[in-house]
Amino acid sequence: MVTPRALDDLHASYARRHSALADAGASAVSVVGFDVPLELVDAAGLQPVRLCGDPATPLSGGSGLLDPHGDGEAKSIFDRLRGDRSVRSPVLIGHDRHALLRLFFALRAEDREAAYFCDLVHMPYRTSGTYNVVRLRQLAAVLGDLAGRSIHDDDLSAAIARRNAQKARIAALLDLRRGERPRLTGRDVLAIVSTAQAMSCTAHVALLDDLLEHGESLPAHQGPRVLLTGSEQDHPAVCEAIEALGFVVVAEDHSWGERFADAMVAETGDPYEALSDRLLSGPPGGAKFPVDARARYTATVARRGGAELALAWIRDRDNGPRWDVPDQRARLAELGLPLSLVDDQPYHQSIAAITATLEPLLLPHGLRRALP
Amino acid sequence: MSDRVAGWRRQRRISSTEDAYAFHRQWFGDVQQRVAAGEPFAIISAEVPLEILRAMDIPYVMIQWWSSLVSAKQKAPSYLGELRARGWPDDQAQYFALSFASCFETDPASAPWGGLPKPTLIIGDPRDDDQGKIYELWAREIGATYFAYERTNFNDAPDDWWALGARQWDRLLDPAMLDLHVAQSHDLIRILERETGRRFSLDRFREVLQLVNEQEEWFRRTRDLVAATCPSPISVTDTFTSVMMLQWHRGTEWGRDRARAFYEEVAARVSDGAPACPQERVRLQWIGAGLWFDTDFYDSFMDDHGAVFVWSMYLALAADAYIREDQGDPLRTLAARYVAFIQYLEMEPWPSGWYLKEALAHGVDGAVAIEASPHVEEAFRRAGIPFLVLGAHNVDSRRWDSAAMRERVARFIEEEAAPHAALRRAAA
Repeated sequence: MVTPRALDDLHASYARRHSALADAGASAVSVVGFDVPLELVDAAGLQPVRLCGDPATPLSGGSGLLDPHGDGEAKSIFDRLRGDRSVRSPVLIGHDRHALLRLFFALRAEDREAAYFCDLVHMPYRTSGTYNVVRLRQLAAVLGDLAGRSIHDDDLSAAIARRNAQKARIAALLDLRRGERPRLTGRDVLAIVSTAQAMSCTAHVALLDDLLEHGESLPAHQGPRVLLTGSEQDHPAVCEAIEALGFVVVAEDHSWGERFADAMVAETGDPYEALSDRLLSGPPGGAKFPVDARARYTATVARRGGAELALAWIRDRDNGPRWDVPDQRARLAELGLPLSLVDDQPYHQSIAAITATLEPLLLPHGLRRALP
Repeated sequence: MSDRVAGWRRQRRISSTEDAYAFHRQWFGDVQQRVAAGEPFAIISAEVPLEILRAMDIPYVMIQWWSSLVSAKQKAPSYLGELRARGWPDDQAQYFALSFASCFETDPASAPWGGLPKPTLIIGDPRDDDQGKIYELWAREIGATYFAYERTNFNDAPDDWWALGARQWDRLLDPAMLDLHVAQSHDLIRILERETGRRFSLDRFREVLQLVNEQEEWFRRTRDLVAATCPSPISVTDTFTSVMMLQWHRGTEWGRDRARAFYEEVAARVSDGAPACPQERVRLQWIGAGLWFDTDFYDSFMDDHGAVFVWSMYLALAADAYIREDQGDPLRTLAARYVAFIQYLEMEPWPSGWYLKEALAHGVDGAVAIEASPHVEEAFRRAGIPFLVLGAHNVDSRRWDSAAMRERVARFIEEEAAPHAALRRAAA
């Protein structure tokens, strides 16, 4: 079986994710966090590039400015932003987690123009939605200034439709992972979804179409099926470690995976209200969302993927997901899935270290290490 | 009068401290009886508008106060263990989680002050990643309703928030944040009226707001008096009860009158030449929440070092962050008090600018911070004021080594703060 060229291209782009901003050129806008709506950046005619950290690069002493609440990912992004001359101000920062607010404060302390905080709130109430629409329209004005043009509602509606089409294709690809013999791995999905948030939507959709056309020719993977929950996975190390032990990540509930595709935006009505509803009514993340809603979503993702066991990988100083675990465990137990918890994990650690942590947890579930 | 606690003699310098404590203890007992008789009751965080409940005569307990009491009664280790036993973390958001954990106490005789009554509502602001989850789990555990005030943020504002907040808050604060807070207050009032059968009166609410402003004005005068007086008439231990007990009761004539009495007592000490520490040589600033399980810590450097903690955020925030002149819409005025509560202490340059302003006004020789505050530390060092970070938690005593921490502060005083003090006195 031959791996479709598209999948190779997506993996190649994923491997270059730390250069995505430079690759995107003059129209690139740095985005930190899932909350910042890519659709609005698209509508301005700009290229959103969602930034990730780099656990392979040690932190600078300056990252201590995010202490005591900044986590490893936020600190890593902080270092990147300070050291990368290709970053165009302002960086758009979402309120996914408290660490990102601290990132905003730290950047603002050095340069008030360096970052723009996209303060969208998350509670499912009319009052929160009203506030979000105000903030989204303010963000549109900022983007309009950057782009030198106004964003009309029709522009935004068109951008929403394009991103929805992208997400629908990703959802179709995820079905390839849910069959009895998964034809995509967790790392494949990371590559697909991460590049979705860093490259031209049009170019990305072309690759997705190619991949969908040849999806059945993808090699099938074997191994016990894992749901990965807990912290966001902005890099592949945890997924790679799991799959190197002979497992397959068939489901995940974070925004570098299935949650991105699940976060469809309504294409009728006011587009700004639709973007707000994406957060208020859409799939919940590990921070800022109710425990009950999060646990139900985790169970949904697990059931959909046919997971056989669950792993909650939670980073140090990522406080939200830890409170979800008992409810997640109970919901998953109803499906017959055991949940293993690994918490207080450093962001900066090697795959070897991650593997050493995971091995005693996962191998008793009856797996063999993948042969080279 | 004095208490011998943990080998240290604690002077009760301010008689109004005893009065405030006695009043609060009596009040709490009354609340327990009222709730047992069927009255409504709320548990609220310090960052949500208690003034609405005050105006509706709905008793409430502040989460942070309850956690401080639990910590002072040395119950933190066992209560946090109850969370761990149930699969939740015992080392996150302890200032809020500790109150949640107290609901697993099964022996009322062991519970601090007989335990928290069962609330009708829990009202909080889910500002960090975990607090909303804690409130949700707590409410579910005890069968209460959780009402959340969204915690919002803005991109920019003038730096001198303390100068603008009282009378020009419309210049300082983002209107979208105020709009949301007002809308949420309307929602809360409707729910309280429905759940309790009590009616919200705008006239009564205006009275409460006015009483709060009057109370905080007395705190402002006290803060200014302490700043201008050397040696200091009081230390921070005199303010923990005399300020915070009154803050939980703000909006009452009692609170306003006790704040005035506190000021008059401090002023009398100034007139009488009665300092907290007659041999004061070094003036220290405490940055962060109080060490509620070891408040003797603050006065323990007087005898050997002549070092007095003259400043903590409680009296200073009362002075600078609470007074809000009504500009015609009382709920919007209320919002102006609360929407930026967190930013004062977190959004640079607001915290470092304010802490430094206070340090300079109080003639501080050194600052001791409970946890890392890199921007604040940098600002202090640039201003030539020594800075020490303890790396502790204010209610979780499990990692607190009393002797080691006192030794660290003593060394800091000797090596850094005292030399600064000598230069200050020489320049005076």
